[in-house]
Amino acid sequence: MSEDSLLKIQNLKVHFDTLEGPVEALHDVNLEVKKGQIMGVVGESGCGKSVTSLTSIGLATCIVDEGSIKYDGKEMIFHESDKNNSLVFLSKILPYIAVLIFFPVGFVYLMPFMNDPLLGFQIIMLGFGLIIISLIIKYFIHSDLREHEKFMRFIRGNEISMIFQEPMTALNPLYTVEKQIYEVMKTHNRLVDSRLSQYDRIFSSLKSPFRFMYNWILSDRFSSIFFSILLLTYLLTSCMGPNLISSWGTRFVVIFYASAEVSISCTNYTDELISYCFLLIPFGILRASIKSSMDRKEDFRKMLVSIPYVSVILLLILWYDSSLFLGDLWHEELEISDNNWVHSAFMIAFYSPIISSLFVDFSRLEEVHRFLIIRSIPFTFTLALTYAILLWTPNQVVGTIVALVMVISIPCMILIDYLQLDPAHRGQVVKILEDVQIPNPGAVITMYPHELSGGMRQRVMIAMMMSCEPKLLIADEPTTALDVTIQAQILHLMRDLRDRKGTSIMLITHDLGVIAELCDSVSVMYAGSVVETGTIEDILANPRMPYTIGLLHSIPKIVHSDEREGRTSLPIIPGQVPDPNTHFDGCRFHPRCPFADDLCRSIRPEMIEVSEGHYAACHHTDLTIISEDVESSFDIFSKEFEGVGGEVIVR
Amino acid sequence: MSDRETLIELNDIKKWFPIKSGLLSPVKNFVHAVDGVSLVVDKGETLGIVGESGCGKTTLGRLILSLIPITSGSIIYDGVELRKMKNKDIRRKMQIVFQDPGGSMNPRMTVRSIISEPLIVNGYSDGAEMTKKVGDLLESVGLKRNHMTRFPHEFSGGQKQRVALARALALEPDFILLDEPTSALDVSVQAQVLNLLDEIQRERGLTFVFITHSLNVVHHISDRVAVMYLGKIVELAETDNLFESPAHPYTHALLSAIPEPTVGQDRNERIVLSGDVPSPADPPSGCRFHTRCPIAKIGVCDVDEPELVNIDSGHKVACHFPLAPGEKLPLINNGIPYGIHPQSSTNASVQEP
Repeated sequence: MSEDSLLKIQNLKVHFDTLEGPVEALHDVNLEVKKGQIMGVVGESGCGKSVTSLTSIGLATCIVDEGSIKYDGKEMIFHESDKNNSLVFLSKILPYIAVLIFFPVGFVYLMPFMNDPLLGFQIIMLGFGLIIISLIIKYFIHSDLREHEKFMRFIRGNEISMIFQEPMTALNPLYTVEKQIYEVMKTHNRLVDSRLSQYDRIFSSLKSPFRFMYNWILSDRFSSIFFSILLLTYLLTSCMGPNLISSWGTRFVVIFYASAEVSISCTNYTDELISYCFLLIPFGILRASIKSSMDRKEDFRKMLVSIPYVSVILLLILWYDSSLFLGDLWHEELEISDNNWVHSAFMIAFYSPIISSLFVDFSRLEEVHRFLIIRSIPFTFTLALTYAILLWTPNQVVGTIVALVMVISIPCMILIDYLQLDPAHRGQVVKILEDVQIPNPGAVITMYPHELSGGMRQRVMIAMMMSCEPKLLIADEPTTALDVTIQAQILHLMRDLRDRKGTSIMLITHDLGVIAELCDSVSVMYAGSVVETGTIEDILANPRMPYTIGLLHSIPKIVHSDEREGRTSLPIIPGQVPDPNTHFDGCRFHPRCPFADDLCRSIRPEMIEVSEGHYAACHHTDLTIISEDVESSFDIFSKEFEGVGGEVIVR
Repeated sequence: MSDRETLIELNDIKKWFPIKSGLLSPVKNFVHAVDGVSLVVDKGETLGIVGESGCGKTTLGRLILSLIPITSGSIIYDGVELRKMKNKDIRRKMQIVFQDPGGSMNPRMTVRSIISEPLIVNGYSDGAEMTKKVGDLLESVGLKRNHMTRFPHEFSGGQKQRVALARALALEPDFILLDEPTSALDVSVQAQVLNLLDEIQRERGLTFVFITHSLNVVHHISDRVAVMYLGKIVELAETDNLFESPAHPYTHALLSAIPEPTVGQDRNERIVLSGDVPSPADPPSGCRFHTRCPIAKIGVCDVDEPELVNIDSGHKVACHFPLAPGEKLPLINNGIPYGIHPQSSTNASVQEP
């Protein structure tokens, strides 16, 4: 039994932290997906189906209170050990000491009326030392978390992959299908050796420059590039010619505004461009402050004085940004996601190459991110150099440098995006698309998601998920957004994949029809816990939990006219799904259940094995042997319920 | 049919949405959202309109309510051409319940002001009488009087849909268009709302047009069903008639594709149609379904457009080869996609525009 279980969730209890207090999403979830099995999880909205699936691959933002998720015997939930409490406290307090005590004191010594600026400089440097010490402590404290995250990254997409409900939002609208599938394969090292070298690919992409330019002008990015070129021309003229805009402040406002404008229209580079915008603000402030203090006579002492100023401002900005984007290094909120990492990496890389080498753990960054950072190195390096020089150069020259860097580097970055895939890799992508029965895959790979219909998009999603041949596929409502005829195709495809490759599937849906179509076994969830588990025959033909019976009962059925006397009213489950924060001592279904008695109100039912492999969480499984009886008692109960005037949510 | 009065009559109505490529550029093409639909809605009946997404059922509903202008054709409501009626009169007689109950209500208005707004617009005075009227309406849709001080977000999905229904009922219309009222709801709540709709129709003698993609629901609630495909009605019949003996291959495939929560011998064999719904901007020649149809014949289906003709009393179908009652579509696919395909060499010449 245990050796063929692939994913095993035991006693999972999670909650979400909201401003109005914790919301308990899952109470007690026990699930098991066996190898090569299609397991259905069914329930109404808000019963915790999606939270269960997201938690099991570590994507949920909820907090796990207890329970374990074992994939192939390996634990998937990170449990933080408490032994480092004093170190955690120390790492938290040190930056505060530095900022609140060392920096102000140092600044006081740097003031013109104090005679010892060098002492001030030393004190400030000591403050930096404290911050660095706290970072080093954090690095060691979180080593096990890093290991876990590395493991999860390996699992996600590689061993367990996920199909989301809405294919349009799950695909990136700015990249072609082949690029998106290629990225997954690249991340998990599934690519074969490339046939061409990098330079050959660049060359072959540029071989048809007219086609390239044509595509580029037609693309949405053109407008933003056009924008930035216009802006930079303006800047160049204003810097080089007579001072059209005299103050730097005005100039930076213009740059900031225009860059924001560009970044909105050019979402692909939002991260880079926004950080670029932020970069310009401290630059403006610095420039303004130094100009007044330096008075054209640069001597070594004054330069020394300016360095702490610059570093402190940079560091404060970095700290502010990192508290937003680099949560796990600076603060306790551990929100690790792809974007945060890329963003913070860019931030750091922009602000200072030296600081970045201290903060960024390159081993933790994935291949893609490393690629992104490397991609930005020429840009970053030039900027860093500019930083060093610009403080002592005239305004006009600085402006020119910045402008030139922008003009040269942004098209370069875009060019890299337009690079064609290696023919060998393209062949791999085509083969995967063939596997999911996409007609004419050679043409589809170069399409963008908006050019595909809903069913095709969902197929591309499935192709992307199957590209690493995972052992478990979590399908979160894969057919809800699709029409019936397309739904039939997709379900057919998923069953086919299971038969051919032996992939286990965890199918999450609210449609019992889909479950009946595809699954081998089913778990029914209600209000954050599993209430019934069994094979498909058990649940659909012989359900024992009153909720399951009521749910099956309330689906409108197509019966023939001789069985159908006029239009009868549909059977219902009276009442509403309870608010997740309502506390129940007993069964969570008891307010809507016709059999509820004092036992149900006071004691939570355990999962009882009603037949082999068929479990139901109910105190009264002896009353639910004949489904028709339960259905009729539901009908009577719902009439009573309406008489009392239920259906009111208490807020 | 003849013994019932006609409430709404649609005569060959069309709605073409222009596709423009830029701000100043001319119209490139049209999306044939609704392309020649003729229908009759009788008083007191429920007409179900089913179809896949993008087939034009919602556009048809909006045309009936004249929420969007018609490209051509005419709608006659109770003997009067809809174009000649004032907007206010139309709204007083016809109301709509939208798909997403949360999206169709102003989150900053209380339920009382949501429901009383149509009344105030139509000249009722706001006051104690209004409060009583709103309370009555709320009670008629199964909510409580004291709910009228709440805001929409304080209700669950089913309750919101009840409020939307109360708003539609406020002006005591004769006709309500239900545009997928239950597709955003869970199964158990859907049953509650459907029961309520049924009850209200019986009490007030309302006429419903029920737009949905769920065949189970349409079977439960409708007297007659119209099946739409790419802007056209392909089959129109009494509900039982349609579900027992579908004549159009598309209806047949649609019915067989309903996932049923049963196991064992009860299960139907599914007909999996290949391909997607073609783009309504460039509909296929001839019969629009021929690209996916298992029984399409080259030279007939891809050339002639079938008319909607009577094959039985009140059973209309637009197909060259309608299925006889009890006849089944070929089930086995043999790996060859259904329909006439542009890729296959034999039909390539036929497909040329």
